[in-house]
Amino acid sequence: MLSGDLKEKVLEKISKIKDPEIPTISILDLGLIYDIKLENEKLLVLIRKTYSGCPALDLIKKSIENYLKEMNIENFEVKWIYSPPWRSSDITENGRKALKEAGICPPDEERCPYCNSENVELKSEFGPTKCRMIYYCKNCKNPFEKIR
Amino acid sequence: MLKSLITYLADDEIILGYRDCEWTGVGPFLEEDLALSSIAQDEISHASILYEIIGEPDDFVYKRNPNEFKNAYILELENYDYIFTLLRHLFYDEFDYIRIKSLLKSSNNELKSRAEKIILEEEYHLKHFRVLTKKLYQREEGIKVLSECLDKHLWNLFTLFEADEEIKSIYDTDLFPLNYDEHLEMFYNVIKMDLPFYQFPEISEIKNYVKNLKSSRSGNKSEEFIKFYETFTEVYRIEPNAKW
Repeated sequence: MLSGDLKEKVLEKISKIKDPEIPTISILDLGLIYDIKLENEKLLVLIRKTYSGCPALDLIKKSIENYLKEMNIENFEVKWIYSPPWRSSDITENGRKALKEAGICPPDEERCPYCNSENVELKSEFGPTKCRMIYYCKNCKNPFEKIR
Repeated sequence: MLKSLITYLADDEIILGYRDCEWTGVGPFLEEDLALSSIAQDEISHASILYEIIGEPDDFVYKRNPNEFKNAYILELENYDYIFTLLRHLFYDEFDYIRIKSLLKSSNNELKSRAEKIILEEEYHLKHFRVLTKKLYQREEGIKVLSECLDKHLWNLFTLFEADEEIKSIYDTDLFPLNYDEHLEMFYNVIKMDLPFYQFPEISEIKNYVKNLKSSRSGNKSEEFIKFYETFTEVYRIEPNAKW
């Protein structure tokens, strides 16, 4: 199998894996997949951590490994890399849409995901998960979350 | 040398991370409860990704004797109250930030790449504790409680800079390109800016004090550490072969 074809097929499979804590967004759109390559006939999947202490990480790694096994790939390694570090700007356009659907404001804007108002304020830099902060919309009076 | 450096970095992180965990559910207000719990998660995972460079993280945390931990004395103390927790974190994060930043130029790629990740997270910890400290000292009452705590714990806070022969030998190397005296001086300047209302001792006095320290980093553990160690290794000791 050509490496290009294999990469496409693996990507297609992996794109089905959703973030365990935000089930509307795939790990691909979240920007976690850094590279997929063949090295000495071994398929190497390089993935990045959003936040080093995120408890969903092990689950994500296992899901990828399971998909690769399902594809009958035997010689593979799913490996965490730290450099360049993941940044919230690595989230794709599709990912940003998916976040909004889940009621979460994407990282590069300050806008209420419910009413679109920009009349919002930061309530807490630390939210229910490592990657989320808590905001409050003064227009529709809803609390909402935003990616850090 | 790599092992000495990693335990110097990661033992501080793991001990402080565990202490931070003790605030979960009893934080002074909801947002701070979330913040400390979240920061605890970061510190513990930083320790974990550092230990994994040289071995199995669990082995370092659960299988070593208390006197093998290289952590600073101040970090093993109980949380006492929130003001102490806040000041200890501010001091530690300023101290650690300088260390981690220097690792961005380390000759070891495993370490360097992790430092790139860790520093992003330490930046917002630091911001968090700086902002809270500032909010406090903008009021008379805040200055009073912060000053009282500093008067009581100031010298213990400087135990961060305790360095035995092992620690001294890792400074100023390609692996850890930071000079010990510069580390202390940079720290001294920044902590004075964080706490502008407080009269700090002269830096020469601090240098003298840390020079003679033979405390926790040298293996002399306090009773508080022993008690704490028994707590965090308790589950492991009951079922050493458990898989999580």
